[in-house]
Amino acid sequence: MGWIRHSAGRHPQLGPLETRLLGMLSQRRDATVRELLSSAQVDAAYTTVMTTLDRLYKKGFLDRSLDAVSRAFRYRLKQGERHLYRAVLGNDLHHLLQTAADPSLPVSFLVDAVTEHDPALLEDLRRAVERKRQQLRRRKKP
Amino acid sequence: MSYLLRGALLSSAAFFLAYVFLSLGVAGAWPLLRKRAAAWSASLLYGLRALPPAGALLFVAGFVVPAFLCLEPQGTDERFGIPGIALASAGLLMVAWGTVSALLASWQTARFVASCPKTGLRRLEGSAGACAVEVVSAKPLFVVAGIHRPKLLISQQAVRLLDENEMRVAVRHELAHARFRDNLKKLALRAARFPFLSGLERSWMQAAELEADDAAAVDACGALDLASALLKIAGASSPAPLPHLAMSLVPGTQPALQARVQRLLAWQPRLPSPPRRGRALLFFFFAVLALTAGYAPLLRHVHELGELLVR
Repeated sequence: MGWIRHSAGRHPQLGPLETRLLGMLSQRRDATVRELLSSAQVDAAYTTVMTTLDRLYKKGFLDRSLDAVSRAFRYRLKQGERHLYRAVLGNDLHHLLQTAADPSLPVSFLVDAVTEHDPALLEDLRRAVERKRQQLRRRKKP
Repeated sequence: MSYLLRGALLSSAAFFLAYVFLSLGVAGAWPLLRKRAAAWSASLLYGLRALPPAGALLFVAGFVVPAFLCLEPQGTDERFGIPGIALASAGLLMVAWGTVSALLASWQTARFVASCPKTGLRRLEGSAGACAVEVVSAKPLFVVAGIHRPKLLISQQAVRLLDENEMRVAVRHELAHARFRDNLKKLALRAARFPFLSGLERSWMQAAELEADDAAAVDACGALDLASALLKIAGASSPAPLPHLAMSLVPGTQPALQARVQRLLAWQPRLPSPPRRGRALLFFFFAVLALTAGYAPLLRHVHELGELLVR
């Protein structure tokens, strides 16, 4: 619970790369810097990823151990994904609700964001429906 | 303690134990069944979800109460032990909590329907008592709400978005929900809530949507019209918050919507399934036979278990 206390107390600000790396580590049990880079999901230099992981470790989000084969640090989430979101989002949401004049406003925007559909996907599906409609029309014509 | 009070407490304790036992059994089996259940009908999924409360009720009505009435002597002054009283109280609390939840859901839904500013009202043919009510809403709304004489609520924005064919098939979809009594089924689930069964409930909801899609899309053109209506309503803006006892045209998450549209795109005429009534009747006959043969010894066992429970 150390890092949860830490995050609740000091309200850690996570950058885009930090969030991305935490997300990648939540999808796998553990990983070294090289393994994260080889997955091609992150576009950054080796030293940048190494420094960022080290910072996350110092912030208390990650655990690390020395890999016997590669002699590099192997990082893993200190707590599960659920705890990670609770610590990061819970703190931010609490701050948001505390500072809002009308607390229902951020909540309604949150519901909108969660239930909104991806416009690009809807457009793809709409095109597929139109293609199918044209196929049907062609088939009906003698 | 009076004879009737003892019977009521015993029934409540037995109901609680059977309900929790069956619910945990279904919740434990669900992760193993989930993949196979993707092909199950909405009725089968709902049957599985309704098994714990229905099974517990049947157990109490079919075994516990008859065993008590037949085998418990009236004159005895038996006392209920602390575990028995605790179980009976838990059963009563559970029933009370379920009743309050169901009443609140009904009240919230009735309030939602009443608060929608209505601009037009027209009765639809073959709509199982449901009537279409056009309402003003800032967000697109296409929903059938309520249990007794359910209301079909369509916002003016939705009316503007959909063309005539899309509107017809979307209305058919919502009326299918009314015909299948999906809101009544939801009410029953509100009354019989259990913490680990939400995944099964979500699967039932998705299957119910597919079943309503099948009922609405009677041909390939209808399927495309429905897919188009779904995409228009989903794309217009985020949905309005809905009450518990309502079925919306576009509920749920993006993957669920995508799956529905892709299924409608691949629409094929349904072949009539071979009748399985003979096999079901045979199973029912043997089940009744086995129960009749073993009923008296079963009642004795249930009574003995009841005695153990209350001491």
